[in-house]
Amino acid sequence: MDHSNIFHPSHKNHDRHILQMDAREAIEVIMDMYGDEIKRFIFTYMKNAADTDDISQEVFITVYQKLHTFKGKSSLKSWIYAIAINRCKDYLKSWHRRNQKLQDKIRRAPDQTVIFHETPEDHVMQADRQNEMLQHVLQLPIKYREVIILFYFHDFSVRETSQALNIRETTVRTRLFRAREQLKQQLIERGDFHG
Amino acid sequence: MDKHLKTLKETYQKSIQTSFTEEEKRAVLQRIEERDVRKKHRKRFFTISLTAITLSIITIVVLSFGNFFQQETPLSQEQADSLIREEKEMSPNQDHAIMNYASQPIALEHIFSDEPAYETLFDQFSEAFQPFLKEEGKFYAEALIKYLYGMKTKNIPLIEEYTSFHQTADIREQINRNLIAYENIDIEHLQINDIKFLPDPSDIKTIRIEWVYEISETDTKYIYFIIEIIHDRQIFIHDSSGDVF
Repeated sequence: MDHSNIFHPSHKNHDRHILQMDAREAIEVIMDMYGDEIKRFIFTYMKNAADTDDISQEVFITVYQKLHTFKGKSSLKSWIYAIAINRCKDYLKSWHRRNQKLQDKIRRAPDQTVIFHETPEDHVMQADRQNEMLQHVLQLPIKYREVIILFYFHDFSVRETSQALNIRETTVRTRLFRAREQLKQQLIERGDFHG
Repeated sequence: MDKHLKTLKETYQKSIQTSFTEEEKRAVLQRIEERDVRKKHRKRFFTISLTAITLSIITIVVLSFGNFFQQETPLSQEQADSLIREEKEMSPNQDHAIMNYASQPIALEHIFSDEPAYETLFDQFSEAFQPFLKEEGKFYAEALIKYLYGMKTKNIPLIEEYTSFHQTADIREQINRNLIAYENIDIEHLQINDIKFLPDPSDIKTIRIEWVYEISETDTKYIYFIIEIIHDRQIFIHDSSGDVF
């Protein structure tokens, strides 16, 4: 796993190359490059396919609208992730989402899990140990979940994670430590942790 | 734990099998296109509005400065003498002289104090209009009184308030005839014979007023008013006084 490649000079050159393009052309390249991973990342917030589809599109429209404001203080990738994170958090705080959650609670039996069962073609999980661990990650509180996902699954460095989440690097490290501790505790309780 | 998590990336990618499809990319590009078109329209509208506002402001400023700096050129002694001569030469009893008053608003109280008969007429109109026009009736009664006063005193701006909506050559000619007729009409003896709403297929409310103008042993003469209530307290008076029936 490479947590430093984002700051490699070739990435800077690549970003510069994209930024020199016409905005329409640039957004097409950005969607080709980051479409899948951004959408997967958004799913870890939304946990349902319909909202993930909507928010993904909105994120790329925002990227197109704001591209001219990008100053290059961070990498283009972490800037796009920052937009996605903000968009997801705004949506989760919105009245529409809260209302939807309330409706879901009313309809759904209390012992049913929320994760991964909305559209079978998108999210089929095997009940092996790895998947179980992933389930634990996805059930962590947002502030721990997002640092784990960015750092371990999207190859972000601590610095990149701090830029995307707009928090300090020490906070990222603290959250990573606490997230790992919580996961360890859960696995110990289930008898699945072996060092 | 760190080791466990590092091996989890592949599971994460396989388990959450979302992909940003070509269809979604096209949808984003479509929305961007629509947004750009809207933005372009807004920009054009803004530019046009700004230009219009700027031109209006410039016109107002130029006109204001023009008025501010305008100075009256004093008349020479010769010109002044010639004007005085012209005024003296004018007959005080000219038949068709039209006094063109400044179009300052005239209060009802002023009309009533000038000629109390108008106050009686105003009450009659208010009462007669009440069933058709409710509270608005008083407004239309006031308009009629002002029109009649305008005819009697040859106050053209006042008359035009109620006749100038469709100022055609015919109407101007009719007003000239009416002005002559009003010289012989005694408001005090003018009596309302009938007031009725006329059925009108359009939205315009039309009121027909029949006045008794003169009663002789053998004949009764009438004047007809047709009042069109156009909208929002705008009325248009057709007055037949020049063609007494």
